[in-house]
Amino acid sequence: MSIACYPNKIFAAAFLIALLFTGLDQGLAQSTPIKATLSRSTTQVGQPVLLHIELIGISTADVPLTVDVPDLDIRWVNRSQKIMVDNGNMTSTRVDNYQVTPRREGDFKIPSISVLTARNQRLHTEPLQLHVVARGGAGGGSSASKQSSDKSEVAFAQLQAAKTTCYVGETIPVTLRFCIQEGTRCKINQFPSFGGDGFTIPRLERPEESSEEINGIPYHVMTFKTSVTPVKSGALTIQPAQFNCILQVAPSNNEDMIAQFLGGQTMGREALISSNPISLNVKSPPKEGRPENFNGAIGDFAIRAEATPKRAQASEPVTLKLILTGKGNFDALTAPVLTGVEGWKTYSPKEAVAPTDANGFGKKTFDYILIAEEAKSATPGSQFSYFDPVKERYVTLHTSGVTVQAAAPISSPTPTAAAATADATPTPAPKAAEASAPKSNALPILTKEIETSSFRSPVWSLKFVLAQTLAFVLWLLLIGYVVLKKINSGEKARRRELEKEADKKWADLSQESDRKKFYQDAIMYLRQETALRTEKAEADISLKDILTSRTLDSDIIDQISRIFERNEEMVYGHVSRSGDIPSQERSSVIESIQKFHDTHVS
Amino acid sequence: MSHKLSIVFLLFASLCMAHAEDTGALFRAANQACQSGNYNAAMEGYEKITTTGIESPDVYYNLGAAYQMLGQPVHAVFNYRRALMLKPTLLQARRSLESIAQTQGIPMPRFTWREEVSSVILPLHLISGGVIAAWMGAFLFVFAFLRKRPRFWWLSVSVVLILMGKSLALLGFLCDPKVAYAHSAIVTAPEAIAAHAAPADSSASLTKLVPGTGVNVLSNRGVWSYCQLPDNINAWLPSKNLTMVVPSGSPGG
Repeated sequence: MSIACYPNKIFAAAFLIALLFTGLDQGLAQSTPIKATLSRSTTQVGQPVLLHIELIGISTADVPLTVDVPDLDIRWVNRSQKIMVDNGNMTSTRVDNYQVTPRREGDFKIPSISVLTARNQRLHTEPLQLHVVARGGAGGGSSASKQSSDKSEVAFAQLQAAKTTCYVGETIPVTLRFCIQEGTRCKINQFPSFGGDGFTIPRLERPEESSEEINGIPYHVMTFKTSVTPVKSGALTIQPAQFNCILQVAPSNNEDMIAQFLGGQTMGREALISSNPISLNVKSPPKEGRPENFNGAIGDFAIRAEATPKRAQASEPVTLKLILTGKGNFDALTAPVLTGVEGWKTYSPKEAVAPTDANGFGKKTFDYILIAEEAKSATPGSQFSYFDPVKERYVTLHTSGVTVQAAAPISSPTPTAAAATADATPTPAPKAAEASAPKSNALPILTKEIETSSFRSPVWSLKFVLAQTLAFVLWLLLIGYVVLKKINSGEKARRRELEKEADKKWADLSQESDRKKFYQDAIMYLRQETALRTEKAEADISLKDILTSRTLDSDIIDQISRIFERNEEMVYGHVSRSGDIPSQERSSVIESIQKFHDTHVS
Repeated sequence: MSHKLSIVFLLFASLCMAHAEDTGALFRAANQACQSGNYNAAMEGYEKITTTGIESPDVYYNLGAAYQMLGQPVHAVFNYRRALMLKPTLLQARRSLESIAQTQGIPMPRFTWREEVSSVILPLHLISGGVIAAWMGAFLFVFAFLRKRPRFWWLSVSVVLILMGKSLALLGFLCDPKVAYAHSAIVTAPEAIAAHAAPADSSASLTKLVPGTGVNVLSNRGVWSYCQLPDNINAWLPSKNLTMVVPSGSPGG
């Protein structure tokens, strides 16, 4: 079968293959998406948004420089390239950016945009929707202060008070909101300050952050919850809160095109965003019905009393704790008035304010130190008056005495005002004795011998440094002592071991009958005996060392030398190496060694 | 030579004793004046003692009391603070300070754990006790090696003593107001002063500080001091309106 026989089939196969490749190519081309997106779907008149056309896998294409939409100015701005690597596959995406500036409010449809690729393919984007609201002044991070009446700015601040008519000393919850359009980056340089004369304002805490849609525009909202307390009456104004910040906004006109080309799509601008002021009508609490002990507390409070210990020995202090809870300006609350204080010595109370919670509830405690001047079965009671701004009337709270058993002092001297005004914890009697004051309203003074101290920390004093140095030196000496002792104990152990071996060798010597071994043992013994006297190791000891290790008679020297000679003769000479040693010779050698040993012992 | 040296030593000793006697006499006289209601004379007496270089909590406390009786709360606050710095357990000074702060509207920072600890036990005692314990541990550790085989419990006790002693000493050091508040100062201007956001009169005023308010000086720039205020806000204050609690200190020093 030849090819020529099947020309039609070959053509059909080639056609199919060509079609397949073309189809693949078409498929690839069609799978290359073209995508158009808007940076924001809502904007205001004159406020540009960015239109991005993404061409995935296409680097060369002809895009239009303008797009004609009535009342929308759509201009090509710049081009960028994105390269993504996913599982080893590299995809290149070309992005063409357009600036879309609306000229009027309303809903706009951006039509499909046609792009011609290098392969002469025409791709089309999906149509897009843009909602444009009316422009409310020159927002967008200008340095001008803006009121919050129009909520279509890039950023604005709102100040809201719970009420605008109040009383002097009344705490009014205030909310400060700082709204930034979503997509706008904002850096607040400094936390806002607001208020003005006639108010006390606590420090702003960290704001709550949320997202909100205002007039159809999504905003990032920071909410500061705080309060103001007017300190005088009349028409007062809470001055606007000012946010000093840097806004990163999209360029608003064509002049910023260059900036777009150079640095991207946003520009940082310093802006001072001001909130609205709030006018308050501040009234004084009415004079009618004002209790005598009213000290300007405004709000709604409750009081309770606790006392510890329940049983107090003579002169032992009792702590009466009065706890005020509720809503109001706790910082300005003064101590409740004690009632029924006869027979009690009282001191000025110690105050503690607990932080007010998010709902404005707070707590303040007053700790009174009391000492019974006579036997008492209950603490003093208390009175606290405040003005309720909601009910617009004065309220006086009472607590009755708390039951305690306080013993009378053993000797009841007239209490001096000195102790009464000074030390609220007069438990330590010596301290009370130190203080003395003759005048009834005088403060106590310290009259004991003058006690000197220093404003320098004791750690930096010369005494301290010297003491530390001394301790350190002693410690080092102790370490040295321990090390020396350890070394000495090692030497002693070596000596004990040598003595033991020498004794054993001596015992062996008297039993040994073999001549050669006898002389070897004798020399070994002499070496061990000498090693005990010197620092040298047993193996390194020579005849000279043995003879000079102690003061020996010439006879003993000769005898010891002869022992060494005989041993050498047996090792290197022709003397028989085995055989028993004659008893006379053994006795002579042992006697010589005994003399050597005795010399050592003596 | 030794004869001359002993004469110099005797002269020096007698001078010191005379100085101590003079101070003691001054203190007693000032106390007497205070007790008899002559607060001006008492104040002068105490001030004179402070100029001799003696740093005594008793003198500063009594001086504060004299100023308080003379109706000079700012000076009273100032001296009470000095007394408390020298002796944090002097509760009379603390109470008097709180009393003045309450009546004069001076903001008082909340007492921290450091002050609570130092009001119970003197930092000096903590440091001394801690250092002694640590050295005992160190010596015991070395003694443990005097034995042929150091015993485990000896070593354990010594290590515990060292760690405990060092911790106590560190606690005492941290709680010592001489360390913690070495740079504290008092607003001694005659009237309330503005705390500025920047070291310039024209900068925004953050708050106002009444005389007697205590601040912590963080740094200095020219005639301005950067301070931490009682409510933990940092602001700039004119250095001339501040007096350091530590007598030899300068704002920001």
